Amino acid sequence: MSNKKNYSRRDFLKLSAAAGAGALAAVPASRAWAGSNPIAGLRRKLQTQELIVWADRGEPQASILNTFVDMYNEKLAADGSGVTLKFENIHPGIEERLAAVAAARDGYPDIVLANSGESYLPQYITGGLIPALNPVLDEIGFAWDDLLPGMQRKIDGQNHWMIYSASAFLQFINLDHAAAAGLDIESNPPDSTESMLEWADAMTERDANGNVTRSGFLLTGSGGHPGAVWGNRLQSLGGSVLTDDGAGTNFNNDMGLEAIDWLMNCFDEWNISDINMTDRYNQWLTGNASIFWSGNWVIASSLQQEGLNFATWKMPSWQGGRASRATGEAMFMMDTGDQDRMMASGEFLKWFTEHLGEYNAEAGDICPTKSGSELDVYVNRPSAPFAEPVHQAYDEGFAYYTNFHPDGNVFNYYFGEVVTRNLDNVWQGLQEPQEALDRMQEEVQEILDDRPALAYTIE
Amino acid sequence: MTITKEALGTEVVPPSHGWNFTFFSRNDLIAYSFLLPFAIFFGIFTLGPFITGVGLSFTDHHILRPGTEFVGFENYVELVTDDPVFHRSVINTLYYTAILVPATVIIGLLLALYINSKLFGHTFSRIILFAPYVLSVSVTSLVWAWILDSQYGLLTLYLSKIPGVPSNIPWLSNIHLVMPSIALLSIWWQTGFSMILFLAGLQDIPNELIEASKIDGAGTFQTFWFVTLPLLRPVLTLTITLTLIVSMKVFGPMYIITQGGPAARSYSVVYYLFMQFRRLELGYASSVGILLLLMILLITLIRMILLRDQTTS
Repeated sequence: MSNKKNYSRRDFLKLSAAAGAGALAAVPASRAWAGSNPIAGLRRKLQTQELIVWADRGEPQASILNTFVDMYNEKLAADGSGVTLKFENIHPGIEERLAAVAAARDGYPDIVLANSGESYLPQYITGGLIPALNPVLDEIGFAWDDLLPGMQRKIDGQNHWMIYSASAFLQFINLDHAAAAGLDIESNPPDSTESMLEWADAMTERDANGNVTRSGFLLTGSGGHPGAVWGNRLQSLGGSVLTDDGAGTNFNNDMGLEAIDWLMNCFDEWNISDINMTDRYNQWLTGNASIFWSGNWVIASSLQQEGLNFATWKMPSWQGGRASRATGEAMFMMDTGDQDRMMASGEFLKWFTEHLGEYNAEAGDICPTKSGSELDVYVNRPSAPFAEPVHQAYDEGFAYYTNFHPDGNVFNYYFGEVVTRNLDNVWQGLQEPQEALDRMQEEVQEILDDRPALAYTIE
Repeated sequence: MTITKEALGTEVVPPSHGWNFTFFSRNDLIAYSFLLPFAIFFGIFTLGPFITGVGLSFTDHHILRPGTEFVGFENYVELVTDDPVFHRSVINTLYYTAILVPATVIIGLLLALYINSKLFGHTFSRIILFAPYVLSVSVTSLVWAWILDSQYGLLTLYLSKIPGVPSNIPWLSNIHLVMPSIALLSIWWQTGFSMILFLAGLQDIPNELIEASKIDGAGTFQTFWFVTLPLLRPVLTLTITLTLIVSMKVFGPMYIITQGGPAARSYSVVYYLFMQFRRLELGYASSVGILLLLMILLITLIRMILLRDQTTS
């Protein structure tokens, strides 16, 4: 006879309840243990030697950033500091990673080299996870006066992030298309909206039925791009999605309607844009569009594109106004709670700022420092002739927005989900313009009533 | 009939009475110990998060805002009554499901019949037809983003050779075409799995039954309709259920290709949940997840009633 022990159902339930209670009790206990455990403390101390750097860039910028981090690591090794930087490019998906570490309250990077970062900067700033850089940078002797005018973004007088590449919107023009249409950028550039439309019309190709087969003016039929173009038109007229104080709106008016009409005319009356176009970068790079409004981040890939002969020009004026988008690639620290790590992170930001001339020369972007802008390698970089409109956007004071919202994905300079979704209803013929603006107004105001936007100054 | 040790060839332990009846034997404990790793894994990574999610759905929890408050059913009420984007995502998801499920089931069955018939090329075809299923959603979506390009995609290129078909078809930028286009991608991707399930079911049907029906004078279609299909019923219900659940959870193509556009016409429920997560609104996002679960349960229940599950002995 086998030696069996009898277990009743009650015994099983008792055992399960005890095991579950034990597991639940172990969770806070383990957290408390980890907080006070000297081994965990030592591990954190050792980890001070490795700073985590996250980047959110495509190529070639991601590889170039990695190279500069490697250079800094070599410097640290030569100095014998015992600190190293570990680089990780998270593109796309950095927002989700940041949300995950925020939820876990653990795993924060020390430094982030962002794309623009505007979709998530405000919520982490208001959440207290992105501290002001000034205390750290002041202590290590950061050269604030080396920054060019317009390159600092301040919230209540404090810099929570620095710009390592400045950006603005500009016009990209396919010179082969222009030459074929008999247009000369030197003698008659598309400087005003009226001249830009003449250029676009002359360069548009249409089939026998009048359908656009090659857009004279690249404009997609949905998504962030028409939203950004609408925003540019709106700002040229003096409007904006949010008021300067970030508490109200300034688009549900004649300016907002006129901006919508302008875009719809590109598809309908002027017939210079193909509403079915989706991938704008692909269409521009493969020569299937003649004029493309975008940012200077397109310069590098355009230069690499074989057979693409192009020029750039500043954004066109319209009814007395000229608008652009003053932004830049942001770098910031996250509050890891460890002062040693934050000081070490500040040292890297200082060093990188001192080498932004070399970085931007290679990346094809715009250097925000005086010393970097004067370097021969930067002045003579291949993208230099194309970057002038970016400098003009800052030097000539084009209109641009100066606030963003903690719910960053909502607005994010007209790429935001609320703006694109509501305006898509117009481009797709689902709603009349006024109806769409009314609905958008309602949605935006509801969000602002919950939390106003975060305003910053540009200095 | 008396059950005896000799009859069964094993030792029989008679049941005890009251609280001390034999519920777990030593062998039972050994068996449960083998299940324990999975149970722990399930508890930590499935059951625990699920319970947490249910709890969060009754709060206004935001990852970065202090002070989570219990709000009762407020999130659910808002979703059902005052969130047009969520309503649109439900409609889109049901539309997508209505296309995907019948297509993958019917095409999968037809392909399985072809493979099972052992016609010329069936072995090679089996590999080719199943191959898409092993690709990741990222690869599939990126490839199909190119295939569905409005002007230079392969689909437009070949269709435009048909007289009357335009040379520019906005598969992904037209509100009426975007969800069918994503469904087309998913049909290509997932039909191989349905095919394999049906193939297993077909190979489980005794040949004698097929031969007997032919001897009785049944044609090919009659054999299929009156013999094969009824015997495939368990596999059919399984395939429909699995495809239903997978289609209700669609996310990848929306995230990679369309970002929910145009005009939220490719928002799925899971994509909407993801967008709430990106806004760090965990309480609201959790309520979306729970509602999705209830929707899937309801649809599965309806399916069970309509098809009236029958298990074969």
